[in-house]
Amino acid sequence: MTAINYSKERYWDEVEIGDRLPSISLMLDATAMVLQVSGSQDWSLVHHDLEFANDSGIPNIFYNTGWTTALLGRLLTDWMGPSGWVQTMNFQMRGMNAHGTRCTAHGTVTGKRTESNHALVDVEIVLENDPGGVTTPGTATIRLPRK
Amino acid sequence: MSAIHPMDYDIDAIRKEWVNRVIRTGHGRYPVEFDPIRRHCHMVGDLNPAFLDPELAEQGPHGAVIVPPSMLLTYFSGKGPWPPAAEKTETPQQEDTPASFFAVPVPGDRGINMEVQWDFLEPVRVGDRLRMEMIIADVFIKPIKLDPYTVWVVSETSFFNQEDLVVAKWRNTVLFHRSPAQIAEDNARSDAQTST
Repeated sequence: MTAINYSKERYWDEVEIGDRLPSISLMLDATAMVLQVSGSQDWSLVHHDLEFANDSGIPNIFYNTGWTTALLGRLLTDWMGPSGWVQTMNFQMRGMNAHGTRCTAHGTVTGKRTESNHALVDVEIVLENDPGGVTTPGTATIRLPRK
Repeated sequence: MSAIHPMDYDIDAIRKEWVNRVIRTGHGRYPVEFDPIRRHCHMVGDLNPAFLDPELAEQGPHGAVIVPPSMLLTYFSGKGPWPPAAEKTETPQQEDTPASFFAVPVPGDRGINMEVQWDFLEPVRVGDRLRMEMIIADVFIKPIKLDPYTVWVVSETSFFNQEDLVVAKWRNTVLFHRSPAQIAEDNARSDAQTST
């Protein structure tokens, strides 16, 4: 894995449609599960109690919205540089990122535009789960500095 | 059995009563702090110094550590550091009033978030004091595999800082379904009423 240079600016002028953001892959193991609860402060049982999940008709614990937002947020902020700004982020939770699986966040630049003097980049974002496939498709718009 | 039997659930009355209603206002119990940001970042392996390193962040464009854009939900998380007692719910629930955690009465008591839309408007820095205001934007019934009588609740939340500036807006869609055991009990009641 390449180390991220957090101090390097990413300029709108240099971004191309089709550019891919570096993917992030996490194993959803026992440590990830407790970090999820600690980091999100979401104590809903369905996210950490297998018995409760099963009683709800759900076969496994699945990771919560705070965690999902954080992972997709990190995908964007790792890439955008210190002066970038995540302006919007939308996603749908169509599938579950279940405990014991591997989850990978991907992003692809789909558009570039200027609006109200802001230089904007549109990004398709997605969480993909092994073996579940795409669980969380979404979009984001990032404001970047110009050269 | 579910909190409200579907036969007793009047979606039109629910919509009339709840849509566009402010259902919750809340103030952060503490100012924005470093360590919850660290926990939020470490949950997904985020090492960005803009969120974690006060000295480096001071030299950055925001002049201080800011919360990751993904963290506002955590700051006001209902079951963690901001228990319901810290919030003002506009329509306090009676003990015998079934409700979702958005206060809207629903048959099922199992919630799943389905869609999230964020607008991030202003940076939030360590030391800021935040408040939020949530309205119900929509309520409707749409079946899912688990439950043919699933109620979907759409909420819109604005987050404000200490200067009353809106720092973010959040539109959230959550569904509430019944457990298989609750559905079976509800069906048994329906069958009994049909046969009498």
